[in-house]
This record gives sequence, structure tokens and C-alpha cells, in this order.
Amino acid sequence: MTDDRDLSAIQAEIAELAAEFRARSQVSKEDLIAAFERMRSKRIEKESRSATAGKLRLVRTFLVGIWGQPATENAIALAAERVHAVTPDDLCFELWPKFLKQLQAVVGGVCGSAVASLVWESGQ
Amino acid sequence: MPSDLANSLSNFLCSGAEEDFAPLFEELYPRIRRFFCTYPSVAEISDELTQDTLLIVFQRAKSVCRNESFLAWTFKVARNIMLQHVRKAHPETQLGNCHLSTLGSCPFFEGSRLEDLISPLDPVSRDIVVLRFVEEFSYAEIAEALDLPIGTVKWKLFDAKARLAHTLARKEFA
Repeated sequence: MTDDRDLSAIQAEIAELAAEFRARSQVSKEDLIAAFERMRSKRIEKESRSATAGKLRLVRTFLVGIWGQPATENAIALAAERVHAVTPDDLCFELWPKFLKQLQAVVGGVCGSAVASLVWESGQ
Repeated sequence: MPSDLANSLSNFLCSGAEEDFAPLFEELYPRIRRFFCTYPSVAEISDELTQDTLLIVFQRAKSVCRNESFLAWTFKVARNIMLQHVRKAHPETQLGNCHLSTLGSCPFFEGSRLEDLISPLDPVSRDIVVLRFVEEFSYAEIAEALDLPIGTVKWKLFDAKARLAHTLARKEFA
């Protein structure tokens, strides 16, 4: 059985090892700055994806009303592929204008330039 | 909570600005990272997990956080991110066993005397010892971070200390 005196001794010993571990795990100023920058880039990328996802929802809703679900999904997938996004969910802020142009071309080929212009407008 | 951290937090909560988050980031980054480093299974990606944790802190602190439990909440986020990662990477792994994985290692924790001492403990007791002695959390903060009743935290810490006393005694007499 461990008595109280043992426990206070062990407490001091663990605290000493913990302090040693804390000292070993310091992060340099340069590493902190680099980590902060990486976190910042992740945030910007996430926000840009979420803004793009909102725009894509609008375009999709508009096209589904004209074409129905299957044709809309095919057109969106084709336009995404043409801008080298693996799936429409991979579209980021930088790719969005190119994607919209490709989608406008696909829609224009089937429905004419008036509908294609409306797609462009709904994606702005 | 240390007063520097409290000041940084209150500045950030007032403005929500990225530049006001920087001092908070500076304070929290080493702490969260070393928490991840105590888990061999995620130690190699501790930097990435720490950034993910602090990104969530940046985005949600304003809406969820009360000053007194901010640190506990931050570690709770960190722990959830780690468990999510372990579930994704090793679906077969039991959450309670994730510390047993031999994947990855962290240069400053691997081979440290603290690692030698706490490695035989179960994961929850390890977390309690780390949060209590390395991060100097109160019982209430540990309870909140690990989602445990405060009585369980006290009992588990007492039990862990008794077991660590035996380990140390054996090492001294060996």
C-alpha cells in the first residue's frame, strides 16, 4: 500500500519529469511563424472552398430547373474535368471563373447563348 | 488560466482579428503539439493536427468560449481531432488503444523519462497525468477536457500516482 508520504514524493518526481519534457518540447520562433502561416493558408483555402460551394449550389439549382438532375450533374462534372478539378467539390476560388466559362460553353452548346448567359450570371 | 493567455484571449475575443490571434497561437501551439506528441500514433503529424486544432479555435472561440474553460475546451478540440484522425487512419483500432500503436514517434518525447514512466498507464490515466503535470490543469479543467466527472479524475489520478510510485520504486531498486 502506498502511503501519503510516498504519494507526495512521487508527485514531486513526476512534476520534475514533466518540467524536463516541457523544456524539451519548446518550439522556435521561426517554426511558430511558419506554422501560423500554414494555418492561415488552410483557413483561406477552406473559406474559398466554402464560398465556391455556395456558388455551385446556386448554379446547380438554376440548371436543374431547366435540365433536370442527371444532365446538370453531367455538365458540371464535364466542366470541372476541363479545369482539372477531380470532382466539382475540388473547385477552389482560383478555378471558379475558368469552371464557369467551361460550364457556360457546355450549356451554350445545348441550350443556346441566352441560357448560357444566365448560367454565367447565376455563378457570379 | 495564466494572465498573459487571458489577456491575449480577451483581445482576440473582442476583435476576432487574425493579428490578435497570433499571441494566442504562440502560447497554445507548443502546448497542443506536445500533447499530440505523447501519442506515438499521431506524433509524426503533430504539427498538422495542431494547426487544425488552432484553426477550429480561431473560427469558433468567439461563439463557444468562456474565459475560465478556454484551455480545457481547446484540449477537448485537440483530443477530438486526434480521435477523428485515428478513426479515419485505422478504422480497426479501438479508441482506447490508440496510444498502443507503434506508428510514428516524436523526437522530444520518445525516450524521455516521462514517456518511460507513463507508458504502462491506460490512455485516460496518461492523459490525466499529462494534463495535470505537464499542462498544470486543475481537476475541473481536466474533467472538462476529457469529458469525465471530476470525482473520476481525482480517483484516476490517485490510482495513477500509486501505480507510478510502484514503477519508480522498482526502477530504483533494479
